[in-house]
Amino acid sequence: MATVVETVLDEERPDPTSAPAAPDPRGRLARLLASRPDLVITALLVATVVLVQGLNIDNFPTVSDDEGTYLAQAWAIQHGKGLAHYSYWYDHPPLGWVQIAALSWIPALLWHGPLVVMHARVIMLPVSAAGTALVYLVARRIDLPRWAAALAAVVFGLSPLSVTMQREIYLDNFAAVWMLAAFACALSPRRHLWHHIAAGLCAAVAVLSKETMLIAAPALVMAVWRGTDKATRKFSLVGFAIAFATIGAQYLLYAVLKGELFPGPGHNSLIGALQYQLGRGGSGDILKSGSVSNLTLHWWLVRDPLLIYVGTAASLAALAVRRLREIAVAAVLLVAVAMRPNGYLPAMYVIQVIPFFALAIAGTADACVRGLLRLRLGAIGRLGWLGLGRWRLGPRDLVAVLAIGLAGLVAPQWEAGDETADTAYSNNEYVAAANWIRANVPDPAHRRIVVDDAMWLDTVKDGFQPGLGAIWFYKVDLDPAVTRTLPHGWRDLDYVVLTSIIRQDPNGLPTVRAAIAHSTTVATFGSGQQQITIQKVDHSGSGQ
Amino acid sequence: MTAIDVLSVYAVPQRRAGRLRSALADRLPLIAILLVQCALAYRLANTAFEDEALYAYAGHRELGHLLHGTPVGDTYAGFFSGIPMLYPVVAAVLDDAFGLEGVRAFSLLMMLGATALLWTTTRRLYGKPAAVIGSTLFATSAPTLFLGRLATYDAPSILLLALALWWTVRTAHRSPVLVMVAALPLVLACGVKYASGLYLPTVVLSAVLTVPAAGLSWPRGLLRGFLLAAATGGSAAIGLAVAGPDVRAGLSQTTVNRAAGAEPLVNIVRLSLVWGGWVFVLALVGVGFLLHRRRPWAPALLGALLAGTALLATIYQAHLGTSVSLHKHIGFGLLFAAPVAGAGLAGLSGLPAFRGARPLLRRAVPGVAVGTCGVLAFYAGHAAGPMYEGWPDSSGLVSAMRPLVHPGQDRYLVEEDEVPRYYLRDQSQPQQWLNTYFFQYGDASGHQLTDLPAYRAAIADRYFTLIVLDDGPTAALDKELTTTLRAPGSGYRLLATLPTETSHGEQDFTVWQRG
Repeated sequence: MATVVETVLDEERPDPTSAPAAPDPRGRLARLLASRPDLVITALLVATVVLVQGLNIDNFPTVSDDEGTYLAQAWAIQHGKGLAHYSYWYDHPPLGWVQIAALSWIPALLWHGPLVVMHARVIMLPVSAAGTALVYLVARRIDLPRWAAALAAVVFGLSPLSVTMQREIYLDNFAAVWMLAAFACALSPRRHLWHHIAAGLCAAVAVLSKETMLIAAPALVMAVWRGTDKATRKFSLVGFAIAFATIGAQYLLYAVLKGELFPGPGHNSLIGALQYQLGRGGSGDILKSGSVSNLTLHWWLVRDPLLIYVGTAASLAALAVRRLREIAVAAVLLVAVAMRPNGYLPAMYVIQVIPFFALAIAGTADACVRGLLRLRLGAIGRLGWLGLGRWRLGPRDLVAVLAIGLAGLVAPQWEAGDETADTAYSNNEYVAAANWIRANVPDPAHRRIVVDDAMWLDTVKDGFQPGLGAIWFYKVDLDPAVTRTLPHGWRDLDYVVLTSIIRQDPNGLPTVRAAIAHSTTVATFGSGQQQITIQKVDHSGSGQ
Repeated sequence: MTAIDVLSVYAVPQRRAGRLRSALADRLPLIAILLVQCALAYRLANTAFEDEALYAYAGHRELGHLLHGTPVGDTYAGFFSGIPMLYPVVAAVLDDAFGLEGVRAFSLLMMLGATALLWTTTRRLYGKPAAVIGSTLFATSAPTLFLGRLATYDAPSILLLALALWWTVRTAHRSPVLVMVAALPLVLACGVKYASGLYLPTVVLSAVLTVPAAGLSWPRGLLRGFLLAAATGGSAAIGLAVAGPDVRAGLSQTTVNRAAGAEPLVNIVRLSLVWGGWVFVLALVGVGFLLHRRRPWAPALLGALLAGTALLATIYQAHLGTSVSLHKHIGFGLLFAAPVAGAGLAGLSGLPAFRGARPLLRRAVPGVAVGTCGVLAFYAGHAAGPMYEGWPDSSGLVSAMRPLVHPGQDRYLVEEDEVPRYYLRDQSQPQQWLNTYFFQYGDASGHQLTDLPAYRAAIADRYFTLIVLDDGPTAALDKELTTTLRAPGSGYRLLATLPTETSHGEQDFTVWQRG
């Protein structure tokens, strides 16, 4: 019997018959690609998406009121002023802008000039990067080959609609990424209980980032079901549910502890907000020409008709493919909710649908390719008649022709859309207006200026008093805390920065409307729809 | 006669028939490519472009002078960018026999010939797969399709350059003296279109590099290059001396010292990418495959030379600051880049990029090449269409003018007079036609006026019988003239407004007749 020492020595002693291992002739990149191909592919995809989305991120698209609102709420958290820059009224769960606040050191590191919102968009690049990597991961976990997973990531990150929407500071972007993380955990090949608990945690964070992400929850439960072993399924499902409920309940708990669960006089409430959201007028039938929802759909189609049409068709087709079913259910549920008659459909809703469309498109493409590769072309494929007897066309060639043909049709359209996103200047008017206010409004600490939220942080930075000096235009008429400080109505206001956002929505805001009516234009920037004017309110009552 | 002799009588034709069949079968891809090129080219249809009309008309005048001694009526050599006695005369002969479509068919034949020569050149350099793909890329590119349907001297120039390139490749293994034969098509190409001279260095350097690329010695290649350069330079010098001062002035004005424009570089690069960018990219891939070969540098250098030639037109036009004729000149570069692009795409498809090359893929996927060529051909068709619809259909205008144009003392002021002058050449004289580019007129007091005052004075004197404006290249002047013509008492009445459409938008011919 060999002793332990002999055994160890034998193991350490080199085998004299075997030649020394030859150095691997491949380069470092080739070796890395061979050993960790998914990592290399993901890194390349993420780099490409970040590059395309990052170029000109500040100048296109035009900054929106919502972006400014979320950023202002993040500012309020950072400065210890509560969950919002005005009273928090449970419009959305706050975890989205908590994340924005956590990431706000990135733009602060890079930039300190005018128009905070447009430069703060750099926050979204790590979010897009994470989203791209997660789409690739989920695709691999639903058994898509590498090329299809890469296709999903490309659709997710490079469609002109994605490039436009994912660079905007929207809560939906955070929610979509967390939901993708939930799917990735649920479909983990290790089928570990903790992964399913993590899926529940991620899903809860997704819903607390944007509540509409709850629509995809049934599909996630299906994914957890599929991702678990029959023997441990009960534990996994319970773990998933408890994790989801524990985190989700924090929102409820917050309202209870603040005494804001139920409606009552003098305070906002969670249930009151829910009642308002459910009772508010919808944006019309998405298929009815002229409705707001239809205009939103039209805007999506202008940016990328292919993603919308092919994504919807692929989602329906993917229902028939077992390994794609959870993704297809998520996409179909989100589409069905968007299509409900007279529902409320904001433009950013599509952000939640894009990852599932991307996965459904890639999955369907993979299913088609698998089908085509099983074809037998027989005599049709022989090239002898063309004098090319050595070669023959097989199913792989058919796939190549179709793939290149489709890529050839899509790529120029996407190139044109992405080029617009990477070269257009849509915020010049806002920048000029912000600069003008900084240079021309004296004593801002004692002035009251009405702005949309896209400029709110800039006016605060210029020295206007947050909330009551720099006033978000909705709050002039709708927030009692602000209205109380305006005993003389519009006469207590000094300036109105009249942007397209305010021009679209003055009807329910009588004080703002009156201030505009009794004001004089002191500066004009741009023309047409994008024009911004600075209106100086004439306290004597005249105006133009 | 023995039985063997008897049998051999029958055996020889059988072998010949077999060889023919085999040769035809071998070239079936080329035949298919040429048919596709014809079909795609004939999708383009329009009336004569002003350059086509100008060259054919000039050819008729030169031919008349040669055959009958009639005055030419203009010094075409002074402003043509090719010798007027070469292509325009051939065009006029063809025009007499077959009309404008015949002249255009000649251009198509030239481009088909260029494709065929490119096929055989590429096959010699890189093998059959590269030849099939390279020829397809060239044949279906937008500039090739456009030039195949344009009766100008670009197509014959390209054929002559292709012929010279083929000969330098064909004779790489043979006596260096033979390469001097290529000087003839090279000099002729430059005579037919002066801008072809831009590509002379490529052909001369190809004569050098094809020798070491074929495994022979560098000194032999250098000798070939020297011989070709000397023969071409000498022939060109003799040609220029014989051609006379007008041709030298034309060469200087239109090509060597052409007036610079102010077109932004970005526009020129962008247009170049649209019309030939992908072929250039594939050519770079081809160079990559050649570099990967890790053999002597000559094949890679030759590939890089051919690929880089695709940039010459862009660089030259960027230097001039104009995109005028860029779409045509890109076609010249594609002739050189297409063989290497063929090698590149063949390599990407897993086919051998060149003889003896190790395929990139374990199993060849010719579908990659088929799909890529198909997509590029699709977009080339889409790009060539707007090029060919870039000028208005003049059939309505010519029909309206035909009953009103007569030989004699009548004067016709037409913004782009080349086109109606060409179509109505049998019922008018050259001096009757005037355009809005330049005009000199002596008024009643004897003052010589030019430009707008000259036109106004002539209109006041009712000098022109017909005036046709279309807001084309001299749109600003047209506006002034229209105001003058509309004024009460101008002596002219609006005879017709003929709407047409080009790829740039709607365009109206307004025809004014002396009242």
